[in-house]
Amino acid sequence: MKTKIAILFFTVVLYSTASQAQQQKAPAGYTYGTSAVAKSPMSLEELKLLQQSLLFGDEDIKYLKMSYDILKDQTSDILDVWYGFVASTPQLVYFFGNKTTGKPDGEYLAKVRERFAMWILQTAEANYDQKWLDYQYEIGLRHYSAKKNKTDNVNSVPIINYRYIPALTIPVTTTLKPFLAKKGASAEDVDKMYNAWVKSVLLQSILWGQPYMKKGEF
Amino acid sequence: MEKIKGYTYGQVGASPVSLADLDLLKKTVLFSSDDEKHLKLAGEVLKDQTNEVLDLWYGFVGGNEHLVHYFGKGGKPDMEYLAAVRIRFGQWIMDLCNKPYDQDWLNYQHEIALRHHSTKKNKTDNASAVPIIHYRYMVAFIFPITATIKGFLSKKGHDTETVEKMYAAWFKAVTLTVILWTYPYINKNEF
Repeated sequence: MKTKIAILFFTVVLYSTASQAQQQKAPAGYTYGTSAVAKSPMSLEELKLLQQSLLFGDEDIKYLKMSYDILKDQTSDILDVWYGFVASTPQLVYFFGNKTTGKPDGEYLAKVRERFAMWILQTAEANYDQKWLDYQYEIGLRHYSAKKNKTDNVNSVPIINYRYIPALTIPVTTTLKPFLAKKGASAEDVDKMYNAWVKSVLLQSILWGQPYMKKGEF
Repeated sequence: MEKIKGYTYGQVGASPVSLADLDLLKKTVLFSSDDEKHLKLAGEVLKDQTNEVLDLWYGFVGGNEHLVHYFGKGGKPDMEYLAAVRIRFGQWIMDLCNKPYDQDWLNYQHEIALRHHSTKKNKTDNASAVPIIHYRYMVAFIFPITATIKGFLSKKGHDTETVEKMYAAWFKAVTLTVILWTYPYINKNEF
């Protein structure tokens, strides 16, 4: 009985402290908040200065959180649009290609897609703490030669070239805006959510760029 | 027109990025002929406002110790350096809107990149400020210089839709440009 209560208590505590995004079944290779993720070389103080440089503030956190409820049941539709864009852009689909055949690896694309849905929720939750910062570093490494392909054990090209990472800020945020407007939010709120998203995606693409930079130049 | 000190558009080395790669990058940021058209319009709207735009941007940099840091040494900003850069910055606004994105434009983006990077920072103005502008703040600057331009774009009586289109074109153009400026910071073959 005692054990039962302890387990129940433990489950309740774990469940209530886990982020909303984590409450869903974690996709393969999604290691947010686990010991498998190394510490970001960037400090939270440095993150704060970077946010300040992007005019990212409490209001953006508020509007990102507002976007969470709007987006949570639309992630699949959003990913259809994003994957459609990638598929129609040969210079992007290349990064999902099999190194030997050059053909897009469907399984690889599908696995990334599941984590991509989590990324949408994680971005909207906007708990930009140490765990989040560490995971941005992990995502950076997975775009980079250090860890690309490893998570999904695929035989694809060894690196996503840096220039396409910040470039994607525009298609990602532009195509997100109509989804933000689908649940009856006012035009002003939609604009504010959109701006908060632009800042957050830009911030993340900067962080993902870290492994690509020459020493001391990040 | 009076010659701008250190402004060497059309007289610089070749960019390591090809026009074909630029074209792919333009497609990735959804940059279209409609954006080109609206950038030109933005150029007309902004041409007599560049001073006010720069007042705002310099105010933002000046109000952030970690940004003004790059214009000085030992915590003290170099006013002469700031002033020399400012004149070229005004020209940059005009070039972003008006120049064709051809080989000359591409080459000059690389020159600007080198002037942010340790390769050429301070050299143009013979300044003795810190040796490099770190990558992260250069890319972050995309947002403030985009968000703050909207007010200026709406000052000449264009309807909301046209202002929005100029704004979207500006955002794409700035993003494209800043991506090109990161080239010298990135490990070989990883750009």
